[in-house]
Parts: sequence; C-alpha cells; structure tokens
Amino acid sequence: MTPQFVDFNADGFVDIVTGTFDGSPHVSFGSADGFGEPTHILDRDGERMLLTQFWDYDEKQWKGLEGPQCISAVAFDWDNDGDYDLLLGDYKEGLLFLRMNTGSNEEPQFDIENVQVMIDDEPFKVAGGMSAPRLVDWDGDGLVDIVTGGMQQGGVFFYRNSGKLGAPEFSPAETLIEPSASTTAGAKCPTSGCYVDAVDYAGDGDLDVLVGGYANWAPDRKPLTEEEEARATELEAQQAEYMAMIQEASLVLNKQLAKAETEEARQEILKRFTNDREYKNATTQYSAVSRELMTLRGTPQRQAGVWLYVRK
Amino acid sequence: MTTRLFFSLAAFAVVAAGSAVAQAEDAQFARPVEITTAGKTYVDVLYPSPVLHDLNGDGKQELIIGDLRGYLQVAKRDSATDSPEWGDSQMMQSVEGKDIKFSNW
Repeated sequence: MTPQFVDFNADGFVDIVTGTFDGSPHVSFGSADGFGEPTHILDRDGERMLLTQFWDYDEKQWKGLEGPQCISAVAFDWDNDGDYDLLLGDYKEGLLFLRMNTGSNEEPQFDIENVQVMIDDEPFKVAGGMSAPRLVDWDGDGLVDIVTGGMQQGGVFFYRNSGKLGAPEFSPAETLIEPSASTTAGAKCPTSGCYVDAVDYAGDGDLDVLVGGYANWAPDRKPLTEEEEARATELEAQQAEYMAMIQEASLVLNKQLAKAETEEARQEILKRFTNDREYKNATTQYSAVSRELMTLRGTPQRQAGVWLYVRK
Repeated sequence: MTTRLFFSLAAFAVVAAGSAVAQAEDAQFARPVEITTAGKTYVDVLYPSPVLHDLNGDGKQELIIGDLRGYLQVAKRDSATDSPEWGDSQMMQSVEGKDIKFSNW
C-alpha cells in the first residue's frame, strides 16, 4: 500500500489515495468528521481501473497473471490543467502508466486506456520491480520528479523531470541508494520492498528519504575455505538455473490459466502442472541446492522496518 | 496456490543473492537510522510504507505507515522533530470508528 494524502476531490478535506495488491487504485474521502470507507477509483465508464493482473472479488481468483499488476496509485496533475490525473505503478517489472482525467477534480473522468510512461522511447522501468512512485520536486527546479524504491532488489531511484510544466519528461534513473547494499546483523538497512517518502525530515531545507522495507542479511559466519567457496558459487549458479526454470514454468502456467474458461479447466491445468516431472524436478532440486547453500552461507535473515536516510 | 509458491520461492532467491554483496556506503546520505514507535521498530508490519503528513493540522507532522494488508497506523511526535523516535502508534480509523482498511485480496 502506498498512502498519498491529497485533496483528491477538491472539497477542502484531505483524502487518502493508494494502490493495493488487488491491482487497482483506491480512495478514502476525508470530511469534517474524518475518513470514509475506502472505495475503488473508477474510470469514466464507471469501471474499476486495472493494468493486467487483478484480484477478481466476485470470482475470488486472480486474473491476468501474465501481465503488469498495479499496486501503487498517485494523484498528480500531469498536464497541469488543474485536475488530478492518476499514475498507476506496476510492481513486477516496475512499469508506470497514466490515466488522464478529462473531467475535473469534483467530477473526474479518467480515461479507459492505460498510457505507458516512457523515457526516451523506452518504457519507464524500475530494475527489480517497483514499490511505489512518489511525485516530488527532488532537485528543487520547480518541476515534480519521481523518487521510487525497488521491490525485489531494493534501492532508491530518482527520475529527473527534464520536461516542462504540464508536459513531464523523465530522465533515466539516478541511484540515490544502491540496490545491492546488503547488511550484516547489527547494521541493518532496507534492501528489498523499499517504499519511500521524500521529506524534509531534519527540517534543514533539503529532502531526506524515509524507507520502509526489509533488511536482508546472512548471519556472521566463519570465512569459507577455497573449496567451500567454490562449492557455494557452483550451488548459486545451479540455484539461479532452477529458479529460472520455475519462473519460466510459472509464466507458462499463468498464460494457460488465463485462457481457461471454467473452474474445471483451471483445476485440470493446475493438476497437470503440479504433476509435471520437469517442474517437480526443478522445485525439488531448488530446495536441495538452497538447503546445502544455507549450510555454507548461513540462513538468510529478513526483517521489516522503517529507516531514515538524512541527506548530507 | 501455485502463484503463492512461486512468490515465496522468488523472495527467497532474492534474499540469497543479496546476502553475498558487501555493504556499500552512500555518499549522499548519512548512515540509515531505524525509526521507532514507542521504543519498538516496525518489525511486525508487512511491507511498511511510510509517509509524513500533518493529519490534525497542528503544524506537526505525523508518521503514517501503510501495510500490505491495507491498514494504516499513525505515530505522533513526542520528541524533537529530527529524532527517529516516535510516540505510540494507533490504527487509523474511519468516521464509523472502525480501522480503515483498503481492500486487498
């Protein structure tokens, strides 16, 4: 979830706009009495807004597993026409999409199409997937930039708005916090699932970064012998290979499931999949390799938290 | 079921890969400091998503943390404005007096 406090309907009370893992943008409208029950933000046809993957509440199942999934939503006046448009962020590949509002804040009319945000003719893409974009003037040049965190690999990135007011153009990512920065026990910092807010925390006039996420680390271990190190490296290569096989198989499965028209057909596909010899072999091998690797590298540790990075 | 399995395997692989990399210092920022609420870190929150906002209009910002399940918790300042230590956290509630929950899956 990616809460943004913004007066979305321009009634003088702050609202909460956010994406959730269900694949769509939501809003909780504020009033003099407090915040109301959250609802989906709908497009001009009254339909729920999606990228590809979403949770179908009626049928209680995931749909569109093969494509991008919106888990973040930000209200931002992209074209500077006085009303909020919506940016929808995909967590899997770190893609970003725009839904223009051709109405007003009071009576929004969000487009029914997702327009992909591009950087120099290439899709806007956050390496390792994206948690949520924050729209903020990071470099203080009067144009709103994007600061965002990485999902699987962590890291915090800055996309400079080098366009004009009402016509943003984003430059390729500049790294604010290295994605690979790992930690040892006792000196934790977030290295995956990085949700950021760029704020002047220290009150010294420049923007600092708050990062929610997970610290991942291996416990302190004796250094490995040359032989052990070679074995660990070999196992890591095997692990990556089996992981790639599992991912490939999952992708195929998701595509097949997306085409299944009945629940019986779905169940049949799932049954065939879980009994597939190659898939079974890959998962068994992956577990075995991972177990042996852990005896060498130690058991990976993971802990949630929120960290403050004060700008020097 | 299968998606969930895939999800957990993927998360595991990332952890394993990340642990082999040495710690990097970043020139732009001081060393990260962990934020606490009433003396505790946010260790029990699923995918914590922080945001600062002055909710009650008293000129002081509160720290709001969203989570994967769709809930929000709010911590108030009870120390200097640049301290990483915050006061007690409360679940954010709707006008009906229930915990606000953004629908998930």
